[in-house]
Amino acid sequence: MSEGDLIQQTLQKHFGFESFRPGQREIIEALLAGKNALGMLPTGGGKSLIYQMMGYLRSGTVVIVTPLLSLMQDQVARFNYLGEKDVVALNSLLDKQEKFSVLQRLQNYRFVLISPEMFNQAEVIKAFEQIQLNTLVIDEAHTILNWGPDFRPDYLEFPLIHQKLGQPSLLLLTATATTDMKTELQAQFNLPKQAWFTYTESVNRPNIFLHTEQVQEQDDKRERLKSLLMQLPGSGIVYVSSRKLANSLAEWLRQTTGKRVAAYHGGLDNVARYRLQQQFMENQLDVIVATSAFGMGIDKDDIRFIIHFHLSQDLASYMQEIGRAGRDGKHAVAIMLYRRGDERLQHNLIDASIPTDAMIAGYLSGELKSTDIGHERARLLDYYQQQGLSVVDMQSLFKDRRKTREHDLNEMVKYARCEHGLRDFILNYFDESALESDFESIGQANWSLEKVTFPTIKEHNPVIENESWAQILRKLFK
Amino acid sequence: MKAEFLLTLFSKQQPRRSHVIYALLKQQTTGSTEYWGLRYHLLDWIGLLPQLYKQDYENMLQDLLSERCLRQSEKGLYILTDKGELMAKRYAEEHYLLQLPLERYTYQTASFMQLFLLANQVVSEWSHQNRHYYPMQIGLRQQQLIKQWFKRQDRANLLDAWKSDLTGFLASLSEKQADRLAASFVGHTHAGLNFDQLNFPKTWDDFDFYLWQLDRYTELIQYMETHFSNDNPMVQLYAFVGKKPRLSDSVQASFMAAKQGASFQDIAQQRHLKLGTVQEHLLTAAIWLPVSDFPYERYLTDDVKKHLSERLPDQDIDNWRFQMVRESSDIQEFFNFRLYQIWLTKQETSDE
Repeated sequence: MSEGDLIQQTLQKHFGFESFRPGQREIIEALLAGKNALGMLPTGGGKSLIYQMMGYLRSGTVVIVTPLLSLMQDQVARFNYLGEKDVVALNSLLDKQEKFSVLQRLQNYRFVLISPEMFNQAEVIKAFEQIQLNTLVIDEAHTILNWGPDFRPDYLEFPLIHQKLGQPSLLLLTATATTDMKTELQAQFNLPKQAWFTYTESVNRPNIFLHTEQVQEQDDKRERLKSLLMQLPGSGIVYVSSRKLANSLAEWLRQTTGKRVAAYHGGLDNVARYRLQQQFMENQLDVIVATSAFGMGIDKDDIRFIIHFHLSQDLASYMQEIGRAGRDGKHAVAIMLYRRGDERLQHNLIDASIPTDAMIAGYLSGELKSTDIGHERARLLDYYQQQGLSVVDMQSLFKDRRKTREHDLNEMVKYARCEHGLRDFILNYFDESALESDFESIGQANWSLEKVTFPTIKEHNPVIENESWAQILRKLFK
Repeated sequence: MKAEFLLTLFSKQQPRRSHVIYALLKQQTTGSTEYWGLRYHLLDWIGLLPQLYKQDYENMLQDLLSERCLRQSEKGLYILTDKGELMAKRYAEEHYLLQLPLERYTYQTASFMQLFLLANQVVSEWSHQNRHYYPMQIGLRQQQLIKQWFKRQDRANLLDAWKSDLTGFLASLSEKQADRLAASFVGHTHAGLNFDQLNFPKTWDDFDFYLWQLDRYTELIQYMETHFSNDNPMVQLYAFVGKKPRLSDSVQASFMAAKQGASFQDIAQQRHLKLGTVQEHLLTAAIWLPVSDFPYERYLTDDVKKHLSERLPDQDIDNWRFQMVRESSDIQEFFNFRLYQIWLTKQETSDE
């Protein structure tokens, strides 16, 4: 059988699809030809299918490094859903014994999902050295650049680990990266240029209507949000910047809009998260008020609107978040509600994650302990110290990081304040050429849903409230 | 969990060590912390919050101190202020209070709860012949246990047994509790409701819901114990968790030997233990067992009691220090002192 036939057959057999989405086949072929690949595919563009396919197309274990625990669990669930059993998640949720037993029988797994922290442990690397690797996948690879330098130093070790493991096929996946980011990502790994295959899909999502509005007061924003929710059909996500606000806003919206609203954030336990995601998938919930923890792995294709109650940290994150809407290709809306000064929240987050000059000097001289500057920051400084960086080096490195993050945040703010050409602003930011598109509007006065054709909402599943236990049991068990 | 919950674990009369309370909640106890847990009447709360982070705990404590709900009486010892007492009372009124705290510990309800929820989903989907679903993501080992369990079941009877067992149990609860518990189940096209969708009192939070569930699942285990036989699918599922024995195997072995009359030295020799460890084992047994199960009279003879009571005139046991009675380096002295404290504490409790 030719390679092409094999690829086609595998796609049908394991996924039931007849054809690939753009980029999937190209990347798979490049990997099979022994190249390393950087794939930039939009959210919902089927990134995970690429490495799943690799697992069936050649022998060895596919290792997928995944930044968020919640995302990892979603991925495992998706594997299970597809009937794949040889899959395991290696992360901090495993106890010592479980971890030991997974490492013992590592070669038996077709897919191993792993957290960056776990991937950086000597015993884990050693275990991976003993087995045949199919492909090393780094999911959400932009986080190496976004998060690594500030609060996840383990990310910075990936190139070294890749080398230690004998440079298996490398697959970097992301939904959003500028040209600079892509170059920088590839530069992290010490590989010749010709060893890379790069596939880039436009960040543009033509079926998503873009809209921004400025409001005067916080209360205005809440009222505006409420009235928008009353107009918009189908399900949607409201992004906010804190757990506390997610909870209180969800409660308020539930009471004032009559819609079925729930809060979702990193503080929920597994079971609660599971119930919420399933309710949302089954259309038993209309709106989820979420912090950015939500949705990295959500597979719902008929989300009709995304509203940002607060700014994202940069446009890459923003695109990632609005990219969850309209995956079915039908019209959807992305709305940014902005109030002057909103950026302060994001500035605070930058301050909270980047150590100050005084912290760096104090910690390295031993005057400050890790409890004084925060465990996360201390770990980061420890890492840089091991790399042989001096106090001055670190101070200048973090100064640069701060500059970059503030610059990225400013671009986000500029978008929120844009007076014309929202889509072009985004395309320009990602170094793509402008489009003549009028599928957007700015300001409350110009808000109208005339241009948007929402598909008819198929079914409105009632939340199963007020059912008796006997009724529920009858439904659960046939 | 709100910081105010911690107030319910402190007292206005008795200064309590914050690290003892932390060790109990987290279940990182030693002989000494368990003794103090007994003194504080907080042993029932052991292992309630295995995931609690020290830093989070300290932060909550700091908040309560700065809000003047707690006052430090000595280093590491805290006491409720008037305000703290009021807040603790209000907390108790507005939140769910665990009804079966010790049973939840001995039955290991928290571990069973997760297994049950996944098993219930598996049975539900299986009954609809659906193999295409997102299983709940619980721990790796738990998932393996469920697989083992499901393989072992007699498919012909599983569904009927499971359904009728659940029906029997739910019928034994109040209508409202049964409705809510069933609504939280996950299964075929039934995502299950979360706490804020179950019409619980507005003042509750997800910690209250967690405690509420613990009580319900403890009741389920109790129900299983009295109603089901060993070949029942749910009982087999519970067997993976099992009841926690009052005493660990090693403590139990030392205790049994002592009960049969062996001296500390004999036990130490037979079991290859240090003398101090044997004594620690027996003190642990005394702390956890009902007063009638432990041979106090053998160690606390009238002479010993008389001797100790003369040297320890203070009515408040918490004020006693071993130095007050110590005469030599014989470790038996500490054993007698501590056992006397335990015995008196149990007398106090049974008088209440």
